[in-house]
Amino acid sequence: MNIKNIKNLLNAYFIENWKTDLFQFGILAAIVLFGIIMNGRVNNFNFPIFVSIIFLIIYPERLFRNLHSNSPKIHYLSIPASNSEKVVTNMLLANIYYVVGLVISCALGLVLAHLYLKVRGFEGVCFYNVFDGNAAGILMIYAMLAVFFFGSIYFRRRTTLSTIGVGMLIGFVFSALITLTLWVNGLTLIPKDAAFRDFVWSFDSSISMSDTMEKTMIYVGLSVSIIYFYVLSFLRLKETEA
Amino acid sequence: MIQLENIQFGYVKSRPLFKELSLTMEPGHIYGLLGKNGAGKTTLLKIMSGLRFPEKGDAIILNENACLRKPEVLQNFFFLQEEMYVPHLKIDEFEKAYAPFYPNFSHDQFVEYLRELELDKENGYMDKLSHGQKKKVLIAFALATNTKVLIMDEPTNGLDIPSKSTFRKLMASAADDSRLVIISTHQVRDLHSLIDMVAILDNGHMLLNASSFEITEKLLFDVDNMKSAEGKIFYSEESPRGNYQVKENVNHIESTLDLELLFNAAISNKNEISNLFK
Repeated sequence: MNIKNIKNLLNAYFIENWKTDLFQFGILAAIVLFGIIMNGRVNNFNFPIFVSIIFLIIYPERLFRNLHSNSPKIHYLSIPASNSEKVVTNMLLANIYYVVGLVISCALGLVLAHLYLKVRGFEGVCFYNVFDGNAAGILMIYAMLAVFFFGSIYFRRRTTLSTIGVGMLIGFVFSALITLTLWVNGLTLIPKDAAFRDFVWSFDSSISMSDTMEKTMIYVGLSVSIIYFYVLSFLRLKETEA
Repeated sequence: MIQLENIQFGYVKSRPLFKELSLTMEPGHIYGLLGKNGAGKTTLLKIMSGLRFPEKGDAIILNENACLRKPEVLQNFFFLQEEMYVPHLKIDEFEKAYAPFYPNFSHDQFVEYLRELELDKENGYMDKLSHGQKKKVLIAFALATNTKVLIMDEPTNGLDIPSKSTFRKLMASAADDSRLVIISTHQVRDLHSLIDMVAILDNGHMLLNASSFEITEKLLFDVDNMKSAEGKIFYSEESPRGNYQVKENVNHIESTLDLELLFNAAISNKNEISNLFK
């Protein structure tokens, strides 16, 4: 892998996209600002994170838009850089540059909202809520980004919607298989309480895990899936024809 | 420099476009790749460029497998497609974005080529230019990259008459012994003075791959038997100026290559022309 090629790819990206990116960051800041103002106080509100995640999952579709029609695809595939350099460059853009841009835009929207609410005599905005994500939550967002990154190389058009559609289909089939397996064995899924995330098996698990073990498994699982989808993206780009 | 060995390729498995196609192209020449609509000229260019992968056989460009699309190869190779993609950039922004990828790119040459093609960098956004102007920018850029291999698919489509002659002039000045230029075109009259190697693609095979010297040595391009009445006539065409003929050059008489007549002669006498140049 040649650093100079990555630098050239980044250079080409910024020359082509800096205005669009600036516009999008401005839009995000405005959405956060108006969203918070319209909603009044925001003490337990994750609106900025919600909007940022939407921006983030749509971004890979823009990043690989050249692959979605024939002439731009020939142009992109003919750029003198290897497939791995192209994937790494776009990983840097999606995982670092764009995330930093979104955080700054959110912060800008929040500061402006805070100032506006102060002037209007409200308490202002509680900032800590926006950045209180835990490590697993952040890893989950990055894993989701890796899936959409792969989807934007794999699918030819409407890549974000196609990825969501296929994701839902896989989730549905997987849940149906589990339900079917349990039903065949005379077991059911019973909710422990009203919260959906607290579904538990109706039978006692003989395996008990410590908190650290459970967290480690989550971190390792998410990290492996992130790596897996980026490797798949590289392989898919390598196989891409125009 | 480019070597295709026993290439087999088809968009539909049951109907292969190329069967056992082999072709070698050497530097120092401008190749004219000719063929009927749907013969697979653009596909063949894409296979050479590593943009399509053959089902069987090898496509070697600059001693590397084209399918790998290695940066070292792509730096020395430029593919100007017929349906061009131009980003929403001004000409100088486009240069700043893409010239760094080509180590032999010359800014001075780019400016000079643009000037010759009557364009300047103040022409606004490239995607707002006319088709012909977009093509001119990309032709100027392609030539200024100074790559060892330059592939152009229908480069004169959309160019006005003065620009076509400027294009010929630029191409002639840019060609040198270390450079291989491949031009796929239907507009043979635009380029007949430029092309020194002719490759005719037909029905999945190379019907002909010969130099213009070799062609005029074996074939005579005549009007109304003015040069010779001998030799088998492969093709003749009535025109207000007389009866144009392509015939076997039995007496080794000099004549000027007419690509359109050659193409028609080759298509209408496939086996004989193919055997003549074996």
